Amino acid sequence: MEARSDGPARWRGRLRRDVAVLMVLKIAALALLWALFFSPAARVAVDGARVSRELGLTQRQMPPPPASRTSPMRPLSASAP
Amino acid sequence: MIDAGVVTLSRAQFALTALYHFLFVPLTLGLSMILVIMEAVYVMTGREIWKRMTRFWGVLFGINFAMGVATGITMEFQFGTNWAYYAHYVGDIFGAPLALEGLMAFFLESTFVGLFFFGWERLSKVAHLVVTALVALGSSLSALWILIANAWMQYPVGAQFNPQTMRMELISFSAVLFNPVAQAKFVHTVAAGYVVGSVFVLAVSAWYLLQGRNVAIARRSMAVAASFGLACALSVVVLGDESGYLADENQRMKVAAIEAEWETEKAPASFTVFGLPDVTAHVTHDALRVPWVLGLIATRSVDEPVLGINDLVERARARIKSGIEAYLALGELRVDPEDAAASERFIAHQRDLGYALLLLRYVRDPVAATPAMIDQAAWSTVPNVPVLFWSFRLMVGIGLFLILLFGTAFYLAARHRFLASPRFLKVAFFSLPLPWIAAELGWIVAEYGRQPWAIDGVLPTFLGASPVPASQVVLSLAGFVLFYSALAVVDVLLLVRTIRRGPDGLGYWPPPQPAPAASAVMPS
Repeated sequence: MEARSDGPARWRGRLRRDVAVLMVLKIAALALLWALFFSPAARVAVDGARVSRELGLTQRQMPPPPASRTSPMRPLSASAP
Repeated sequence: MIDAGVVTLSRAQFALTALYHFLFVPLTLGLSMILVIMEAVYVMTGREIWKRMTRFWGVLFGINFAMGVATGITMEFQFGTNWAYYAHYVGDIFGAPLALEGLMAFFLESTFVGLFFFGWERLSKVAHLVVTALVALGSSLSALWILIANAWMQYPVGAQFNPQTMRMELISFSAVLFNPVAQAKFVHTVAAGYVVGSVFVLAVSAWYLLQGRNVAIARRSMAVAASFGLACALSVVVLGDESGYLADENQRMKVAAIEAEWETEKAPASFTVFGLPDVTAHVTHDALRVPWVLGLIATRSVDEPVLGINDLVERARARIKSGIEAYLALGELRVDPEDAAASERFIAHQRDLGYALLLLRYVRDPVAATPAMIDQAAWSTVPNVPVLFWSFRLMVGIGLFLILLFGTAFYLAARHRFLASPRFLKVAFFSLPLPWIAAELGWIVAEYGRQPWAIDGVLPTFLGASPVPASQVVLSLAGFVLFYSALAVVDVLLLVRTIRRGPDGLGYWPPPQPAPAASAVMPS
């Protein structure tokens, strides 16, 4: 009611200002949410290899560790029969 | 392995947001259809009061609709943020209906909701009725796609596991679309929404009649709510029965837990009306049974037994052992995708792969599981029996009470005796929260009863969660609690204020009297 008595020009100006403030607030809130939960730093990228690791399948795929890894001081030839 | 605390927090967050969201959804579904009925009467009869009624209930629909949309969006984001493994594992199937739901909800519903509110003076009577009908159709279609996605979690059809991509992949969209569980869930859920809308209209109208306000609108509204509500409440029972029958086909453990049925019931199985389930001793004390009823509900026959929890656990144990074979073959296929022998073994046992994955809660390598671990995993397939047992009975009890309520309202409407029955009006008003309680309990039965699975028999819930820090989930959960509490306060305040003002306070009824013609006032 008050806005109508101010005249259309003033009413429109006030509306523009309010819409602009709301847009800025909304963008700020969305940016905060993005940074907290959706940015690459916060996101968990999952692919087949990662699922495989999560299910413990990667451990099963790995060949038995070579002797040189388990006993680094032992010469390679020593592991040969 | 993902921290068990994070899994629990993520589950709590999803449960909270889903249960909160479903406070608004059924009212949107129910009110939209009631608006169609009221406006159709207006178009057919041309009587102004029906238009005014539609506009008044439309305001309450609008408040509720906005809240429903706002609270629904967050759940879809959670699949990516909190359930990343789930999203990868089943996203190929789950994503399509979810995207279609977004399109239906945002484009169809939102467009026509705008036309509904701003088109009263701009559209013809029939065109506006079509708009209102499209709002109702859009709401129901949104529900359809969500329930197709949800039904796939209960009964995963039309997909198979790909060892190369380590995910379930869609092989038949029509199988997902026409999943019998989806069809049964859709009609049951939508009919329950119509009941919620009907009770809302009935209760608010009863309040007006008790106040002696808006009598003309309230009486007509009660008549619509009583007849529509009675038909829908009866449908909910019939369609819920179909859901129970289908659950015994593919989710027998859920049915056994709902019945607290530890031992297999010989045909025809009896239904336990009351009892005290004892999860330690695996018995139900003081059980009050009705012969034959469970057999008829669950098997549609009198000569088929209904399996009990103990026997189903035994079956789960066998499936875990079979699943270990699938797990072993999958490991070999990951090393050599061309390994024909491993591929053959995997195909033979892949149906049980999910059961082997249950062991990952107890051992890093399922192949190394001890018999005790297999036993633990087999018993983990039993959902929380007392919660399911009581939730189901309370839901059914409320449903039966609502049939009685609508039946009485229908009788009073037919005899034009609402005003002479203040006791009934009080009962109708205080029944307002009951359909919401029943609807939430229904979801608890459906989803808590699905545990320990995210996708029944395919993916255990604890393997679906994102490996995010617990603090992050605590932060978002706290945010949801605060934000949703504020939204609830605003929603209740807006609804209560609108109801208190009523059609008379909002200027909808009685209609403004036209100013007398100048010639009548000042005769020349």
